Amino acid sequence: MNISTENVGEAKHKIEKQRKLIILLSVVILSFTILYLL
Amino acid sequence: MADSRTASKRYMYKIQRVVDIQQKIIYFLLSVIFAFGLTYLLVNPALDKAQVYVMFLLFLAIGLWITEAVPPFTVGLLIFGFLVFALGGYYHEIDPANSAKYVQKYVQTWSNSVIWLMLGGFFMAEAMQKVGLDRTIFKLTISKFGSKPRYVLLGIMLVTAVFSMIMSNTATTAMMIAAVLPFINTLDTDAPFSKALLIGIPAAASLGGMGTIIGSPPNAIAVEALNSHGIAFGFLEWMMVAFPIAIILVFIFWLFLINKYVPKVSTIDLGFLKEVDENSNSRIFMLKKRFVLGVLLLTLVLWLTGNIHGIPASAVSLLPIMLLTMFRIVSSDDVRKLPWDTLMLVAGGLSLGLAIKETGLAEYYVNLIRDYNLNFYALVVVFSLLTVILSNFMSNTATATILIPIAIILVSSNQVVLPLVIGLSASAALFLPISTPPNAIAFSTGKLEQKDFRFGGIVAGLVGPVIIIAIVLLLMVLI
Repeated sequence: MNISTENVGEAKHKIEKQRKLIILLSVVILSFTILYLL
Repeated sequence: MADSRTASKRYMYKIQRVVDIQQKIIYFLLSVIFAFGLTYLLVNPALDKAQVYVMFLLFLAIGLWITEAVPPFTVGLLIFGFLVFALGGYYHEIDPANSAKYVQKYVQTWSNSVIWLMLGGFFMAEAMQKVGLDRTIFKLTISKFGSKPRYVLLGIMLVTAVFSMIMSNTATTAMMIAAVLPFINTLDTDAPFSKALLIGIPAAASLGGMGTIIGSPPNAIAVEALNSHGIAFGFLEWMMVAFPIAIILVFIFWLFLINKYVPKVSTIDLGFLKEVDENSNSRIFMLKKRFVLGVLLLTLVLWLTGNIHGIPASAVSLLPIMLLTMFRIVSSDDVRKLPWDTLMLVAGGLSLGLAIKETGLAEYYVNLIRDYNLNFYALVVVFSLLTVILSNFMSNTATATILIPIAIILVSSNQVVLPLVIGLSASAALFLPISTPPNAIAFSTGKLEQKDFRFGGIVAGLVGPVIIIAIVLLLMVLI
């Protein structure tokens, strides 16, 4: 995504979405690891 | 006003950075999930813990190499760390007294003979660039090809190909494009000859890189795989097979280029090559050039005659390293600039290949496939095309690292063929600007569009495997 003055709002929204996805993926990996260890 | 504009630019840059970094983190996490998922699907009680760890590492490396969440060399380092940590722990449980011994071999790839061979090549390439020997040879040879555009193009492509057999493909392309760019700038943006040059140079660098073991990292991976399976394959043997392939492919690529991009002019002025370096006429500079040329020739002769004098190619590599540093051609500052990341990637790749082989993981899966009685020639074609396809999207070294250890065990006879075909096919991937660093350099001139690479990519991707397979099989019958 190339950010310019026109789409700063859109970019901020994307950052938020990315953060949520990172948390979700981290939780999935953590669950995998716990399942493996158990 | 200017202050607010700078502040807004800085703010935008910051947002862009956050988006990019978070994207990389997402790719990294997805790669881990991909590795967990595939390992979970493929794991079964017949596999021991070491094999499961290596399988996970293989899928993780594939994921990271494809997504480029981290640079390719970082994956190489990750491979070392993971193997030492995971396999070290596993072997410590089974045999605590000798656990270090089991893991040592995975770290020893750092001092593998192909790493030394490549390092010798890096020193020579650095020295050639530093004293301007590359530019001198280029100017001297190109003038022999006349002034007709099609032959000038052939000359430039052949010189690029031969250089990239010694120097890295990237450095060769950078040097060649820098040399022809002043001329290209005098042509129209859409001039067919300018496109032919900008597509031909990176293609010749990649295809020419096939010619020697040090020309391209996949070649080194293929040779090391053969050597580790007890098949002696040296510098000379590689050149006997790969040099003709490289030259034929460059020639065919040139034929396609001159047919698609018919030059508008009948002759071109080679005056753009005449601009001289300020230092080039000084006596000391000339002496240095001759000295580097001498070291280069001596090293090449010793590499090629290894069968006669018996000095291993890796030991010969010390010759340019010693001589070039002793006579201050290559300084410690230059050594810091060498492409160490390539060595990290190759060493990591060799470790992964070794782990796949040593833990018996490759053998386990190969035995399952072997029951299907696959046709040898069909396998060769499939692996060659698969290599080209994968190399277009990920590092060609990574592709060779993944496919060669599997391929070499897959066949019981003619074990030489598949590693050679894969190693060479990895250099035939030219479809995208990101397929190879040489393509990226040509693209960065801003004079090519992404679609301009497709023609060359299709030509090299289809004709490349055909020529490679035909010549490798033919030579295997003859030798």
